[in-house]
Amino acid sequence: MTQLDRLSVYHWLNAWCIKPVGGALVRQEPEYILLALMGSPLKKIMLCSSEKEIFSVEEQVMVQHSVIINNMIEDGSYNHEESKIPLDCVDSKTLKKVIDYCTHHTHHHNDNQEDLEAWDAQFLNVDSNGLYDLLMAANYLEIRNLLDLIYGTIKNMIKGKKIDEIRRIFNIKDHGFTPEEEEQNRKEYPHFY
Amino acid sequence: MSSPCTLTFRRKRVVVSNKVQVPLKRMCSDKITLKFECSPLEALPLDILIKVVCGVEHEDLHRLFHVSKTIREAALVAKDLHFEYSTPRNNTFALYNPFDLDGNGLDEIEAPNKQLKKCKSRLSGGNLSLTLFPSMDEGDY
Repeated sequence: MTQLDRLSVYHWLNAWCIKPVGGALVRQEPEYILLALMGSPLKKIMLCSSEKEIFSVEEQVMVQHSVIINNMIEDGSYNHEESKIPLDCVDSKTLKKVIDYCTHHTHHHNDNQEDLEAWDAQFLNVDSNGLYDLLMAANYLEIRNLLDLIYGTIKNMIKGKKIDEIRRIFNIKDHGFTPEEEEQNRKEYPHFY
Repeated sequence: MSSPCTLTFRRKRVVVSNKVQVPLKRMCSDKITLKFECSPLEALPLDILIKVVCGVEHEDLHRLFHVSKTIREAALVAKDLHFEYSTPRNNTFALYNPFDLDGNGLDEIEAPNKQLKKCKSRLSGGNLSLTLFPSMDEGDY
């Protein structure tokens, strides 16, 4: 560590798993000690959104969560000095959310389950289009736990609901059935509607 | 979704738009379906929609067959790939296959290995005695 500016000190402390919390120094996340001994835990990578905005994020955060990025780093196709990873399918707003998710889950993976679930619920409190943007980004980057979280959320949106309500929730205005088919379905399965 | 853009996901190209006036094209099983209003769920690429449907519970799957044609398509694939091999939570009744295109007739949606409450008791009239050393005379049974 060559520069003793505040940010560097914070990162150094963080790397050694000592975090200033309310004036006291609190030890947590012991894995960081090992990472600090093995090498820099704070190696950054650059992700480039579809809007050409660059996001700098800790390499280990993305490597832990995204299979795609992990594979890129492992097979050497990513050059830390020069490269950025273009993510043409992900806009800036969504990419920022994805990075927040991965960062939180890396730094707080020792938190208790309730706290993590509460954070996840708050995280997914987005407008309906935002949820699908996140889903597509998580699918593209192959982030398993985020995918499972979103699948679970959509499953709960559908669970127990009648067909008319599902159509309303998901804004399905044109169901694609002919009027005869629709009428037949309603006669045959009235309890579904 | 973001403003009109073309996205490529694993060989499927999807044009999405928030605007009601813009027709939405969707590549779906080699057919192009023109939709003039965008349901974000239906605008998902088919492979992702299938995975979403795989996540729902068995009871909800049957309703999904009738929500829309797009979702029915995903639900059919999900049924073949996933639901045939997983155990439903709630299995107190058998459901008719609501979608009978391939002429399989009635499909009982049940877990293949689930213990059915059909076993007849082998005990009759409370007689629990068992002959340990059966005689040569088989008329005892």
